[in-house]
Amino acid sequence: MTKTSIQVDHIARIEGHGNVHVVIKDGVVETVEMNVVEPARLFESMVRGRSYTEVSYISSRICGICSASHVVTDLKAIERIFGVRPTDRTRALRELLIYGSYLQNHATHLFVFAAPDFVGLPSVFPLAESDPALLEQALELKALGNELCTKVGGRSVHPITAVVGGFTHEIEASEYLELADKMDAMVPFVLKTVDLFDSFDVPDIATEGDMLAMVMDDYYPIECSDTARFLKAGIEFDANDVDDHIEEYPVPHSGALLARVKDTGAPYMTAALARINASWANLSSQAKVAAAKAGLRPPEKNPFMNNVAQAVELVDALDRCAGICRALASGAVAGSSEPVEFEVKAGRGVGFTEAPRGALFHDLTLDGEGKVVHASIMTPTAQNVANLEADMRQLAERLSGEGRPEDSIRLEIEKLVRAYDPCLSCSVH
Amino acid sequence: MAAADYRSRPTEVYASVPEACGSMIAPRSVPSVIDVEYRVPCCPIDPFEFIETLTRALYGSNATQSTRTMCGDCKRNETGCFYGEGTMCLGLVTLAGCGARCVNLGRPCNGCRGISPDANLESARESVERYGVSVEAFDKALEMFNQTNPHR
Repeated sequence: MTKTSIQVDHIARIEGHGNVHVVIKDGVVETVEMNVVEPARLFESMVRGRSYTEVSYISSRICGICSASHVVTDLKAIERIFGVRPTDRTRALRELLIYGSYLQNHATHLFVFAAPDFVGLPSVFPLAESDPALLEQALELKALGNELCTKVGGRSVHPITAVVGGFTHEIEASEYLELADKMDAMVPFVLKTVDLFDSFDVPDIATEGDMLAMVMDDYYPIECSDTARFLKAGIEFDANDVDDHIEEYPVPHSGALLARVKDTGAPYMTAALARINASWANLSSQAKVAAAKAGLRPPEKNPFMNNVAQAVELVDALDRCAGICRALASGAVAGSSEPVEFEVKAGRGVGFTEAPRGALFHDLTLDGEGKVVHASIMTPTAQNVANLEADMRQLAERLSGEGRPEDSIRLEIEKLVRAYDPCLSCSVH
Repeated sequence: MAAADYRSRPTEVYASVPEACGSMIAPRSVPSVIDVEYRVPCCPIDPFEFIETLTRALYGSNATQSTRTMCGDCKRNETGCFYGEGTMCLGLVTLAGCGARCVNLGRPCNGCRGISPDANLESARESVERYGVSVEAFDKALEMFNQTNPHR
């Protein structure tokens, strides 16, 4: 009897605290667990009884790297309840704000978290000696993302200016144009990033779960739609009906609740890969070419390709945001981002955005004074845990069947976990 | 110190708390558990303030640390006061040092640097009431970043 036991305590180079536990006996995977060992953080309780004016400030603190997503998703939920329709200019700004965090997050994930595994390094720091130019450009991309968040949101972490109905402050036209120029200047580097991740060898597995992404006609949406689609089951739904389509359930080994498609019971993946599968045709033309060159075309079911997907999204994000910045500067996106008038009223609404790591839902119920009665938050990583475990099982079986030694299997499993780009603190919230 | 009613919070989120979360103990502040000599306030911290504090820790400093509240900074910035519009702002009692960043961007202070050790909370409550802001709302807003409702 051969038994391989893989235990990675506090796996490094992901966000948050998690252990990987895999036991393979005679080529059969007996146990596969993504232990999310974060303590209970209780944000869904923290916002109860608080005014709608404070909710986005509180839920922003769920995460320091995707705070922009939590804020905008909360604002959308509140606006659905109050019946507020923000202006086109506000929506453009919100898109910029979230893309700022895409640039920062994808750059960090690709270079600091994922790349070291593929170049035989324990971390990104040795690059400071072996390839300082690469490290410098990666950090410059990260800094650009932070700058975008700071200019639009007031701060790179926990934005200040985004409120119900609009923004409290906007920068000058010249500053939008400066940002657009910086974005254009970074495009050659991100195109090379797509090539770099395309050059890495990855196991050829196909996830059996479904994929979930925000969808919209003729657009690559991350903020401006309320419609979500399960790509395999072919089910589309409005965010307000999320309860009818997604079921959360607890397991003892995870502080995060897991999720499955209610109709089919299947686990699913939500991520850059899902977005590209759903809206590939609406990528910027440069991004589409880069994706095709890297062999990324829908339907792509290999979760390892999420790394390439994020690199392609970087190309698309730079193109898209440069366009939005120029439109804001020229007045092509007309009107004002000043908060529109609204009336506080009771009700329930679900805010939905695509955070860097996947679909994010904030389900809020407010009373007549605008105070929170109930909140339920579904983060992308919590939704991914079940599918990640299923994919780990598949990978472990495949590699064990090939007779790979334990540390090789361990490394490939770690690469898979990192390819999902989990944010475990968010997953528990 | 834990906040009042902290024990009831887990049941508002989980039918039963997963084993992976561990067991719950009363939350406590960091200084109540270990000695703290230097503190970088603000949520999130300002990178420059972090460097300033690190420099102070490594090399020392002759400069006293100001305990002034935010109001003086807004006066210096010549920004209008939210209380004039009947809107609550926690800058009244919050430790200054961020340059009133949020107010400069059109948002009232939410107290994320913490109450100044020299703040006069009683006087502040009387002031907010004079401006037509509810004292209850003021106290509740302070709870976001301050331990003003301890578990007894």
